[in-house]
Amino acid sequence: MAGSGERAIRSVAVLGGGIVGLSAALAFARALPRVAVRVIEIPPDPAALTDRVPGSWPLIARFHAAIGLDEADVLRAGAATFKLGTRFEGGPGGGAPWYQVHGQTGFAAGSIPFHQLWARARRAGAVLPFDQYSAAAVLAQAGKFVHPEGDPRSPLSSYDYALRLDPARYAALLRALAVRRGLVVAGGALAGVERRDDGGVAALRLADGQRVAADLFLDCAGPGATLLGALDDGFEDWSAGLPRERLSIDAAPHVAATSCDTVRWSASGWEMRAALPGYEQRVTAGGANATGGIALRPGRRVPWCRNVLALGDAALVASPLPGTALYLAHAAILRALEMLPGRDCHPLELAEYNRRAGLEGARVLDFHALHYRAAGRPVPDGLAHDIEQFTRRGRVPTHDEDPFPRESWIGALIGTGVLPGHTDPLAAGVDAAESAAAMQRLADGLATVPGQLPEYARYLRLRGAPG
Amino acid sequence: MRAPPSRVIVVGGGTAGWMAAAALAKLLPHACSVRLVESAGIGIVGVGEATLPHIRAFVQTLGLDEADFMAATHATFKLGIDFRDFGRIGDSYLHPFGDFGRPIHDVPFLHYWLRMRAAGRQDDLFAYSPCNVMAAANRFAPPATDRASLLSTISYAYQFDATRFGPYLRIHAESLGAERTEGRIVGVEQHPESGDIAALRMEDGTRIEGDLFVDCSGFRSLLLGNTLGEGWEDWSHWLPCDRAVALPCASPPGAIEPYTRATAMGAGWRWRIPLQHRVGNGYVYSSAHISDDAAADAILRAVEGKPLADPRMLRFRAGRRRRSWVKNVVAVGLASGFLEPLESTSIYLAQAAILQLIELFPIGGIEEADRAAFNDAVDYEYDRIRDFLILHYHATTRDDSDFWNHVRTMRVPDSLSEKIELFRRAGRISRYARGLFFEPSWIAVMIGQGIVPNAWDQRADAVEPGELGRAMDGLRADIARSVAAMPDHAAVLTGRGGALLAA
Repeated sequence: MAGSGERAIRSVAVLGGGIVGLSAALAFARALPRVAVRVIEIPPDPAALTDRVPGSWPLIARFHAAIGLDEADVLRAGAATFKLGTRFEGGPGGGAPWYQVHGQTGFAAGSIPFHQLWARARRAGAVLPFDQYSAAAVLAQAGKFVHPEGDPRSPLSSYDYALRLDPARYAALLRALAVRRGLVVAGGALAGVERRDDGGVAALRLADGQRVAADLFLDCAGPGATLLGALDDGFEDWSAGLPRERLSIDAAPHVAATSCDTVRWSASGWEMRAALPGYEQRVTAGGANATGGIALRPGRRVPWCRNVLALGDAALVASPLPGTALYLAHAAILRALEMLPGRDCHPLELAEYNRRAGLEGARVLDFHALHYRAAGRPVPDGLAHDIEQFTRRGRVPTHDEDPFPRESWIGALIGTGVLPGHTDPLAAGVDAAESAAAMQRLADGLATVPGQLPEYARYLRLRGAPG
Repeated sequence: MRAPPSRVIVVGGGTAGWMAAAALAKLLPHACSVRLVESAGIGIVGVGEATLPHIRAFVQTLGLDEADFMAATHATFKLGIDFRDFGRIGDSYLHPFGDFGRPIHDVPFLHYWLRMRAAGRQDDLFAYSPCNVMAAANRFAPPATDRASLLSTISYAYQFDATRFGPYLRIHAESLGAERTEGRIVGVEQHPESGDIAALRMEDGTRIEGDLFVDCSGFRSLLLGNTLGEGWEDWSHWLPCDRAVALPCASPPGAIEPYTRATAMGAGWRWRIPLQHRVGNGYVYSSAHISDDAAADAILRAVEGKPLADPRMLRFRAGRRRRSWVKNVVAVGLASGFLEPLESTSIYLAQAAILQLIELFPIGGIEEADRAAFNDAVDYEYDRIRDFLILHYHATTRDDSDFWNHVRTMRVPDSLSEKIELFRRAGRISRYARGLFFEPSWIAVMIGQGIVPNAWDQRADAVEPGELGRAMDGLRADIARSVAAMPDHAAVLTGRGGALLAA
């Protein structure tokens, strides 16, 4: 029997020393202690969204556990603060501001999801915005935060949270951790790619003459996909469904800490503001005519080709709006470890990874396109189908490899103005007066929660953040 | 303004028909009226005696009491299927309703077992499946509610008398407002333009109009197949068994097994399903490889107890209608397609179709998008189950009959050969979000039938072998201890104040 030993990957070279490259290196090194992991810090690509506006989703807690990074240490280093969600104002679909948060909204009536009850109540007359039945959104609106509680009876158990990262400090923290773990992290410029007979990569040649050989190469070099692109130049262009935005990223003077970021749409585009330790990050999308800044080219590649796996922007670029760039990179790193092939990188094993990545990609495109809906651009087919189902009957179809939980879809659909026009026949059996009363009780209860919680800045300090 | 409730007409009063009527009446009382049309003159197939764990959710959704339901259908508990002589004559494994071991550091247990096996540890993967150990001891206990317990990873289904399930559901469906019409359908009226079914013409001259027709007419596929002429996708080249001979027998003395047994035979396989009051048996065979008489002889020779009836013959064909929802006809159960009972999927397929129909129930009128979503979901289920069934025949070294030579050497769907190869390389299973048969099921059949991966997840090497061996010993001891503390299956059936054991 051929053991893992004969097929095991012995060495991994990571091209790119940004957040994605360091994250991947740390995760591989921790899960595969016998593998030599080396990070080549090529000059960063300024257009790498994941390194500039990483965003994160609740998966970051699991990822940090996987690499052995303590949340308190991240906070103490000033590399992150807690984030409950994002407030979207004046979106292209019009309508009231809404909150993208993580977790439950309202209550289920048996198998009937809450949004069906809410939509029916809304059609009948007065109802609060959907968000107001979500503890996370109520806290985000108030700028407050506490860690979720374990007791399922508490309203504070119904949500999850993400981290708002300071890109530079977070990258520095990861780098220090990598060095502490004994990984080779060294600068270099790529001078050439040495190929194997079978088309795979044998080694990277660096400008200083070094030759870096490895069994597996991780292309974390940013949207240009320097390495993967040398093997396969295919690119699935998403610019029919997503804008090719030009982003400018600036630091503004310090503002009060808050648990909620803001995206404000205007006639020319949008601006995103995030209160980081010591400053406010402002990301502006100026529309197609703007000059300067970084240009996004939305789309994806088939990420795994021979012994080169693309991660982060090299694999997929969508948009900054729902803050998913690093989330998707985390998910891809964990998926790669879960499905790690032998050192022969057999096509069948890669095909399964690529199949899952492809299904996920379709959902990523749809989710991001939803946030730009009504900006006069065609809606991708998959999204059109889901919007049709939601509009007609409030149904949220299940899709394989969807990285976004159902609650996130429902929140974004309703937030961007897609509302169920009819009550699903299943929901019709729930008593309308009873559910209206229960909704009222819930909203009344949630409204009192923020007042009982400490100020956000104080909570951060209690958790070790530099004051 | 609310559209008037749809008139749903269920055609056929077998298991699928009464499942559909009961579920629609229970879940959509404001959206539809339900009328079921059946004829006492037409028998039901009713061999679906073994089920999958999903049936429990269905029973709960209908608001049925488990003990009452089990007593009425003479049901026993089922922890899995014991497959004998499939990979090789003499082999045996239980496909469990539960997992093998527990993941360590996010890596599935299988990979640690593979690694230790390569290092010389000689034990059976199935020893790490609580369901297997329970089944071997004829013991039963429901899954633990504590997520930390390994016994929370098990599940169970029922073995019951399918001829009693429909009538039992009928009582509930009627109490929920479903109406029943007894009579023979002699004609079907269609709208001249749309082709939708407008009404059924009955033998007594009456007409039954409806808005949506649920075709549960069994193999006849009265509306979908006959009236609408929906095409048939034939899979008999992969699944050549096309007949069965059923033979109920008296229970032998001794334990009541909490599992179904499937034993490979020269031209197919035979089932053995222990119920409270009898044992269901039958031989599923390929008529190209054995005659009806020889098959009947074979099952008569194979059974243990005294036969309670003459052998009963059934004919079928593996495959499905290209679409299950066409115009205003939704076919459920055998009217939609057939996959042989090797993995007890018949009732599951009916249940899945019914719940999908309820999820997509028309609002106002039928939308093409809903039909398409329904048909996609049905395809998704059928294709996966088809591959899983073919695996049982194909993963074999048997060369003792023409039948086994055929299935061993046939070309299987690419989707299956890729799954097998992926598993053989490194123990990987394709992941899906929906449907039936997830990782443990595929692992059970592959390993149980001799497909052992050549390598394992590299991360499994991170744990030191001595520590791993001790952890595995501990796991086996835990399972043995837990199972030893469980009651005997028959005692559980009689134990609840006698409520479970049918009079």
